[in-house]
This record gives sequence, C-alpha cells and structure tokens, in this order.
Amino acid sequence: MIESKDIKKMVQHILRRDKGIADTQIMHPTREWFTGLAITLGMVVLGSWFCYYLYSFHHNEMKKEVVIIEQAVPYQAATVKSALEVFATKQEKYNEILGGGMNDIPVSVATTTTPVEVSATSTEEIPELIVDPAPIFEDDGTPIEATLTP
Amino acid sequence: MNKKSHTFLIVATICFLVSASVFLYALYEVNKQGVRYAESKKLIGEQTAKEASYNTVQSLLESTRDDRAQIKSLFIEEDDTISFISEIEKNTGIVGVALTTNELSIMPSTTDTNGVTSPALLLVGFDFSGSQNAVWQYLTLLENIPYHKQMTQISFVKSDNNLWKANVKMQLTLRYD
Repeated sequence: MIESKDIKKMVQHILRRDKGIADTQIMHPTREWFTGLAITLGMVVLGSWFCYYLYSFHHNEMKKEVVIIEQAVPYQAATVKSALEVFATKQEKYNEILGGGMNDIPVSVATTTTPVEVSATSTEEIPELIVDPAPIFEDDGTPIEATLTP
Repeated sequence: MNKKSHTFLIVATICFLVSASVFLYALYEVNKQGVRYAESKKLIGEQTAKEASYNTVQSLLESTRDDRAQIKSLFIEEDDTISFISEIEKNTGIVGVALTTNELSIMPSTTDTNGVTSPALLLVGFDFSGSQNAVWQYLTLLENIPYHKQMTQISFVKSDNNLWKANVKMQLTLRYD
C-alpha cells in the first residue's frame, strides 16, 4: 500500500530530476577558448570582407575615367561667312560706283503697239478718234491731248 | 578568478581596445583619403575640361583671325569719323552731286534693364542734289558703304529744272574693343 510518505518521495525525486545537477564549476577553459576563437574568427572574416569592400570601392573609383565636359564655343561660322559675303558684295558695288563702272539709272522700256483694223459691226456711224499729236510711248513728260469727234 | 587570470583579462581587454582603436582609425583614414582622392579627381577633371576649352578657344581664335579682322573693319571707329565724312564728301565729285552734311553726332552706348548693351552709334545726315541719275548713284553709293549701318530716313523731291534733291540719315555702328 502506497502511503503519503511514498508519494512525497516520488514527487521530490521528479522535481530534483528537473532541476538537474547543479554546475559548480565557474570557468570552462576549453569551451571559452573555442568561443573566443569563434568570435575572433568571425571578426577577422567580417573585417576582411569589409576591407575587401573598401578596397574594391576605392579601386573602382580609381578606375573610373574622368569625364571631361567640354563647353562648346558658340561660333556661328555660317552667319559670319554670309555676313562677310554680304559686305564683300557691298564693297564691290561701292568700288564699282567710285570707279565709274556703274550704269545709269535703269529706265523702263516703252512698248510699241501696232494699230489693228477693226471692222464695224454696227450700222451706226462710229466716231473717229483723232489723237493730236501722235502719242510717244517713252515718257518724256509731254502731256497728250485727245479729242473725240463725231 | 585568481590574480593571474585577472591580469590576463585586463591585458586582453587593453589589447582588444587598442586593436579596435587602430582598426577604426585606419578605417577613418581610408575613408578620409578616399574622399580626398575623389575631390582631387573631380578637381583634376574640371581643370582638364577648362584646359580643353581653353585650347579649343585658342585654336578657334587662331583659325578665325582673318574673319575677325574683316569683321572689325566693318565697324567705323570714333577717331575715323572726320575721315569718313571727308571721304563721303570727296565722292560727291565722282558721282556729280552737291552735298551738305546736316547732322553729325554720336549716340553713346547704352545698357537696358536686361543688361543688354547697345553699341554707340554715329548719326549722320546728308542733303544732296543733282540729276536723277547722279542722285540715284550717290544713294546707291551710300547704301553700299562697307560699314555696318542702318539707313533711318531717305526722301526725294524733284524740283524745277530736273534737279533732284535727296535727304538721307544713317546710323553707323561704332566699333568698341
């Protein structure tokens, strides 16, 4: 028959088993040595990676070529050329006038017309047009008179 | 912890701090030198660009020397005003007109509110008379004076005896260096 004393013993046994054996040793030289080694190795790896990154960064910066942005000089050669041509033409004309090689003022050329006979189509008498004096086609400033006789 | 371990821990901590300090200082120096290098490179690039621009301008100036000399000759100088008027008056004998200079003044250079500078102008006005052909020829002569100019007024009138009278006003651009 299980008594209450036995049950207590069993419970105490179980509780002691959960607590485990208390570690009375403060330092574990081997474990901490390897922990230190692992941390050091990690730091070395991280440092190496960081140094390599820095090296690559600056090496790439060095390899980059300097971009030279050259400002274009605004020189309108075509405009200059055409302007010089215009003034060269003016100079020629100027010299031509001074050299007396220029023609006189252009005069409009008069055109002559030949009279055309027109046959009368009406039975009524057509008034005769008499121009006195005869017209001069080149404008000489002389007024022209015309009279209409029946 | 015994005394030896304690000493060892202190020494290890000092070593770690010194190493970390050296490492951080080295990192700081590397970054500083990197920034300096980038700035120097940028400065060198700007200087090289300026040098290239200078060379371009220099070669352009060299190649356009004749053009610039020709363009310069298209602008009358203030000192040449009298000789210019003398030449204009001398030409009347060749063409056959009688000429009177009725205006001769200089409009000084002005700068507007936008900072655009207008060059100084030589304002001249002539009255001349002669036959129709002579007046026309002289007008053509004035029109073709090989200087940069603007004719602001031209008027003709035919008087008695087939005598033509003309009035011309011009603005010649004065050269400024």
